[in-house]
Amino acid sequence: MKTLTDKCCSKCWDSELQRCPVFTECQPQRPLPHCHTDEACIRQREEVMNRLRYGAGTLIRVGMGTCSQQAGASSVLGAIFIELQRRNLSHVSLSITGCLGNCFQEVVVSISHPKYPTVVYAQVSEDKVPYLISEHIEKKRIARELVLAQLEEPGKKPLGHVPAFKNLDFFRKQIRRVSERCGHMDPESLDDFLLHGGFLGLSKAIREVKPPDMLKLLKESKLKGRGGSGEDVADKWAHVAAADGEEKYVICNAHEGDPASFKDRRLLESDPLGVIEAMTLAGYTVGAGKGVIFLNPEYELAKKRLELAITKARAFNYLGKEILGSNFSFDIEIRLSPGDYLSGEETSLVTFLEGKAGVRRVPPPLTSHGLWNLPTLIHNVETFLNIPLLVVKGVDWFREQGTGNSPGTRCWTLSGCLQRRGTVEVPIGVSIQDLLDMGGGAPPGKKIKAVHVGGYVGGYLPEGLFQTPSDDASMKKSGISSGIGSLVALEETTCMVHKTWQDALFTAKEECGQCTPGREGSYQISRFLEKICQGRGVRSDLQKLKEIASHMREASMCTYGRLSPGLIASSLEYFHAEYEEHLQKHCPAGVCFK
Amino acid sequence: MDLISILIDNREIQIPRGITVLEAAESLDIKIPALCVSPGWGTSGFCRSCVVEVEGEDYLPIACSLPVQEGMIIKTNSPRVLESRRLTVELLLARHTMDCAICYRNGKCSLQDLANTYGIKESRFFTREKPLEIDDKSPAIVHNPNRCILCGLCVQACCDIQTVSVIDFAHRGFDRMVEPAFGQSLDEVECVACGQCIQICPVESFYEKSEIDKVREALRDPHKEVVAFLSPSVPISIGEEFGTEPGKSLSGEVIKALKMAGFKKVFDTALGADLVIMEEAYELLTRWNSGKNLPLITSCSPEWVKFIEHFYPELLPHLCSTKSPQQIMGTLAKTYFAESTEIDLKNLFTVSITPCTAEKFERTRPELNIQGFPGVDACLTIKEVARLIRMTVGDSFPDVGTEEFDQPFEVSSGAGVIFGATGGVMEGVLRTLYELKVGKKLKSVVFENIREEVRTSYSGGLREVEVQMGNGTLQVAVVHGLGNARRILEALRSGKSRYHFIEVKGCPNGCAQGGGQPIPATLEVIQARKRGLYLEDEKREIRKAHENPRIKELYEKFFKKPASPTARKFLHTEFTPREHYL
Repeated sequence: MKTLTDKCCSKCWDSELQRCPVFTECQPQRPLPHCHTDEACIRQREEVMNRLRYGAGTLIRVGMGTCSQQAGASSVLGAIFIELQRRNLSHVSLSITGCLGNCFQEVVVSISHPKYPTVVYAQVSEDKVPYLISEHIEKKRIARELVLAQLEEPGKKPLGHVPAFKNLDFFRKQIRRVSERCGHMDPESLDDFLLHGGFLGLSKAIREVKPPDMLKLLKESKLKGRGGSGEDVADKWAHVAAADGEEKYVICNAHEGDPASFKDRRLLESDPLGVIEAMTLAGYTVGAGKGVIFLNPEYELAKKRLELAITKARAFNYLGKEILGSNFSFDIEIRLSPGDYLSGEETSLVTFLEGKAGVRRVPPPLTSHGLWNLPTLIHNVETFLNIPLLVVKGVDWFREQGTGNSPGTRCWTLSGCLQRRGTVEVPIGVSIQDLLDMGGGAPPGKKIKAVHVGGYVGGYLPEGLFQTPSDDASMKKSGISSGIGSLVALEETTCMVHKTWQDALFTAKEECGQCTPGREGSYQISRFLEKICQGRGVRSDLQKLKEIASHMREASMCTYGRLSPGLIASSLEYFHAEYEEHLQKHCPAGVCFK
Repeated sequence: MDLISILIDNREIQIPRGITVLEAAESLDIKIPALCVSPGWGTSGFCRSCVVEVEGEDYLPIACSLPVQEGMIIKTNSPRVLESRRLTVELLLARHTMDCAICYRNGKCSLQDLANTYGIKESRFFTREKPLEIDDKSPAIVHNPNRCILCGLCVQACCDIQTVSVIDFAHRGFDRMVEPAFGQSLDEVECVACGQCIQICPVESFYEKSEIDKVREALRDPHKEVVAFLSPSVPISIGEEFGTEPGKSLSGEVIKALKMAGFKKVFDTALGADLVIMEEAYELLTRWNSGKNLPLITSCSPEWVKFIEHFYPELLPHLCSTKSPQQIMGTLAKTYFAESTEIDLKNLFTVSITPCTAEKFERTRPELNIQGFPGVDACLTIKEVARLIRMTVGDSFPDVGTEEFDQPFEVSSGAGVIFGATGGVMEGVLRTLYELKVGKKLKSVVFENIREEVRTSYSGGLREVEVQMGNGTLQVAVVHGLGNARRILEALRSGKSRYHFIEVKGCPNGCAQGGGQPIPATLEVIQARKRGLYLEDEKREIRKAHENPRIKELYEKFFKKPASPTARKFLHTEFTPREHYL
């Protein structure tokens, strides 16, 4: 037995022709007591699991996400490899993992040993590698310069003088559910995925939960979409399940067009098999046979890992015909999006997949007339990842976090004027201030005057509103949408008028241009802001801006057209004084009129 | 029927499920403005001028594509709705050129109407920074993107109805515009110049390339003998431009007005149509007898000819090689007429007046030249000739008095007159063919079962009929609209066609909805135009082409007999396979 998926002995009757129904459950606990209880099998399995956890004795994992690679993770990985060879440390193995979310501390390296808790090192650079190896591996002591934290592991005594991972400021308030496996598991290994509870949700559903019960489970969970629109997931699934069609589609929207968001990229890179499990589960529930991952073309690493994941899932019957011995068949293909902003809007996504220009189309709803006019279920990556957890851990567990109307957790990307930038997962409803605290507030000597929430469908909030909870309902009361969950902290030196103008230019450029309010309205907004920023503004311009923004909200064709005026509306409402000053040709931040 | 009840502006009605709020409102005579809806042509839902308030929705849905639902409470004219519509129109006007003074649609423009309705006096918004280039390279159609309101109806007409698909939306955001692929000119793509984009446009972003100036220059030249050919459709529609009842023929008045404008002679294009019928009837008889190259397909619609040259060049042998009626008139004028009156060809200027925009392209075909001169020197649409007449006699045109067509091309048969109606060519040819084949007089010249109803461009457009002729049965089909023609050609290509003879009109509803017809034209107006043609036919004493004395004379004196070498030389042409770009 070399891998978890190998047979332990001849008593295991599972084969490609006939899958054992509890194949998935058996992997991390092999053999299951009702099958057989051979000591030899248990020993073999322990060996494999130890190898997965600790390699040949000690396992070094290097965080390899896009953010880490930008920080030089590939060089660090290479340097560690060379260092291990040079020092002839054959008992030390090297592996990769995903991203913990603390992008400001890349490159992250964790070292696991059977006897001691895993130690996480941060901001490791190529030149620090010899020091790290010499201290931790050879001298068997903590490399103080680089140490970040130790993980809490059952049965292991914590090390002295090393902070606990869960007590770090960045992680303390996080509730890691969909991102639980991120940064702790090799995203390219099926074994590691199974060891971390992978495919348990799918297997359980196929064995025990009939599709109608799945719909009931979702209904009780009150899970909301995490892609920006906050739609009711159970409703959407029920519609697709009830719709007639010779084929149905499940589409994972991994477009993530908001330039200030990369939480989906992190999930895809760190847990690709998780996405596949969740989509398959969705296919099983609504009766779909085909899945499409609509992937941002810039996410090359995610594409590579997803491709690998699909191949591996197919090899062990988690995708393909008659999944896990049931009569349910499902397969997934990856399609690259055009990389603009608007293709992430779901009807545009569908028109693009059909080979047309990726622009919004008019009803009927996609749930009955989606891709190729067939019933289609579309969700964002994060929404999908909640599903297997819900199946395995149940509704009560799920609703422990979040608000009554919108339970669960939500991923946020924190960026801008913050000490700690990265992606976090928090209970729905934490305040903007909580998020800023997680980000460590402004760097010394700087001050945050506002936040930009939700990208181009969101808006700006001033300091006075930082106590606003971040759930959709509270955000909507403040007149903005939280979008895909991006938060950019704006420094005191930001001119809000100028910032709004720049964002309005992007908005106008990315409009599809189909409907009059969206196309003409966004153009006029950008022109009026240009006028004000260039010192030619008059008071009536502000009135016109308000008029156009409310017109776009009411009469635009799609969500993008209806939400994007939130930028100008919130800017006008909360930073009105700055506009007034601009009308007097004075820019308080000193950005305009130079 | 499944009826549901809804409340519109506090009036409850019972209506069938599946119809839109716009249709429901229309049934109550509640007017909702809708720029991007053309009756029967479908909608894009882009313009947002038809927004309404629906209770329970926090945004304003559009009436044109919102299906009614049980218990819906709708307000079509609440202050919120009116404000939204006003802003939509104001925003559209901001990008519009506002050159209404020189626009044909002035006074009958949907955008102008709305601007007036919503009391917009000034544009408070930014206009376009610099005007877009006007595409006027095509000999037939001009596209001015500065007037476009991006409703997308022309794209529907070109792609969905006509399936020529040379225009579509390009670019995004404010740069969005309608244009041929890669910003090419209409001249550089497969545009067949059918002019359906002109007919469907709610403003005047597409219009025919005017040749009035060229005609006026010729009229000013004392050495030029300017001769006009008048299509039978022209006198029937032209009154619409002067406020007379649609469908009423003003043939004598047009001739009189043209004479006053300086035309020396005005000939009847229906005589050319009579010649086409003669040639086609003989060609059909030959092919029917031999069974070769069937079906025979008519070639009198210039856009249809260009269409088949581009898209189905391998099927060109099925096309009847006879020239179109106006080109036959051009040939007659520049050969028979010029010789008999001893006019130098360089001083003879021929003007074809038609409801067609594709003829503007057709007249530039080099193979139709006669001794180096084009058969037709200029081609005016009904809209253009109405402008010329207004310039000459003003609005009193309907009372200008009448005159007759000039000799020697003044007599035509009813068969030639109905040529422009869908099924008209077929009926004309059958009247002659029957007597040729059977050798007996027809009891009734009317073939009621091939006369097509006027219908919206999306529905129907294909009629199949079996005609008994002596001991043979002729399988014929009448098709109009290029999208329908494409279906026929696909069937022909895959060997599933069993017809002997097919009449194709490129425009939906035939010449009554031609690209050069006056705008706006509702289905009722189109119906009236068509009825007008059949009424003219009924008034004629001569209703069969072969009984036209002028035709008999022409064959005796000039062409010998139908399908003779002389006839082939002058009355027939050849077709060239053209490039298909995608």
